[in-house]
Amino acid sequence: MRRLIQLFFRFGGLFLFLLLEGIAFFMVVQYNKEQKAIFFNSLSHLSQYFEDKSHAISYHFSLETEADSLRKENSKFKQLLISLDIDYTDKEVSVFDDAPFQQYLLQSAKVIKNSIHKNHNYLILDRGTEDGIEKHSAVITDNGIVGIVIEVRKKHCLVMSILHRQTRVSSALKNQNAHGSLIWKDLNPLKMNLENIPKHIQPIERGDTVLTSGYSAMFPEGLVVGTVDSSWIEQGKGAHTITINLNEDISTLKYVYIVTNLMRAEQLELEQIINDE
Amino acid sequence: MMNSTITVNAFRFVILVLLQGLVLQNIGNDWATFPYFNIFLYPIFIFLLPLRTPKPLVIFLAFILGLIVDLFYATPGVHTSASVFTAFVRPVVLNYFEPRAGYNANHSPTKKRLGSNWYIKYSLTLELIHLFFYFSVEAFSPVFIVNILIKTGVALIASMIFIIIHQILFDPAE
Repeated sequence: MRRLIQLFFRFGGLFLFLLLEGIAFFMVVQYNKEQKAIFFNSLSHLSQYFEDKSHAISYHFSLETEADSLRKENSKFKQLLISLDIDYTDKEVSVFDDAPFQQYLLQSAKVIKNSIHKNHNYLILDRGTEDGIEKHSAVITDNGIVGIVIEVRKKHCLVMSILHRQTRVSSALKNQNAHGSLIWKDLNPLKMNLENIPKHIQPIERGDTVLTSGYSAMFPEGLVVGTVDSSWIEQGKGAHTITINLNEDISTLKYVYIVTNLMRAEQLELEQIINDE
Repeated sequence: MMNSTITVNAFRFVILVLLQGLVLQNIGNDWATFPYFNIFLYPIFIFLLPLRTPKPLVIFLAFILGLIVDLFYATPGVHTSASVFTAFVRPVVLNYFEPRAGYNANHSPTKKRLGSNWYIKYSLTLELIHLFFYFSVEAFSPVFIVNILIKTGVALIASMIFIIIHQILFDPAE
């Protein structure tokens, strides 16, 4: 109690000042017309300001979910685009088949782990069996291809990157429609090689677009992979040696799409017949 | 001694409130050509309170003073807030103008005790603070800052004349 009194004598002036000034201001804004108008007008301005600010802040925090939903939507559109392409080329199919023909299913995923500097590079994505991801699904981005799903767990999946010594992706030159297979042997994460393009395909120029051919039953047809950097014919070989620049920088990946081929089983079944013969 | 100080200040309180409310308020009131003319003499009650008066008491007395002046002006709270603020900064100003020899705690800060030079500096500072605060609360928005400054300047000159006349006429010790 004594300390309280001491405290009051030390800071009593300040306390009393704040109290009485508070009372005075209350009277000012309560009983004076002009000041009252200005006060309440400012107050509404102030509350408006804070409302705007809090709105902006909550908007900022909702951006993450916003981006997530946008990616989902994007994957839907991309899926539609790929499907449309196929529908367009196979008009006859859609004549007999009223149900929309859908071959590919796209899901957006986040890259959790990524490597580019080894001989055999892998990625880990945040989608798994719970999301309906299957083994051998393709992984792509808006700009190019990324790899193939090789293992699936409950919530994650392991992707074999195209930057892998055993990669073989069936690809084609857009201008020539000549098919070859894409391999990675230079250990350069921005470059790959296209092999088995027959010698007689001429000319192959720098800057020609390389697409996936769709023969491999993994990647959808017509996805851009990269552009031709250089090409030459080695002595005694029947095919071009082509270096290509990848469109997508795999080292900076953050979000990707996982493509599930709904017709894969059918296609493999038919391929099996060829192998059996 | 103690009693005479209280009597003097009580008497000063009543006279200043009446003078301010009944006479000074009306000077220049209908002066349409020069609307900025105001004379504020009542703050000298706060200036002249004895140096030993406890801070909370100064603030409380200023509150009562402002409240009664507000009754005359029909502006509840405006004079009150300015008076309370002036009372609050009084110790700071006193500290700032403290003579080399220090204060005699039993004295009041008057011309007779501390010299006319000191008293003019002291009262000018406090009057300026009081007027600026008063006109700020009266306008109640920084938009009118030019208006507030003009009013403060004019009222400061007019009021200082009366404050000095008061000290010359009565030359109070308390």
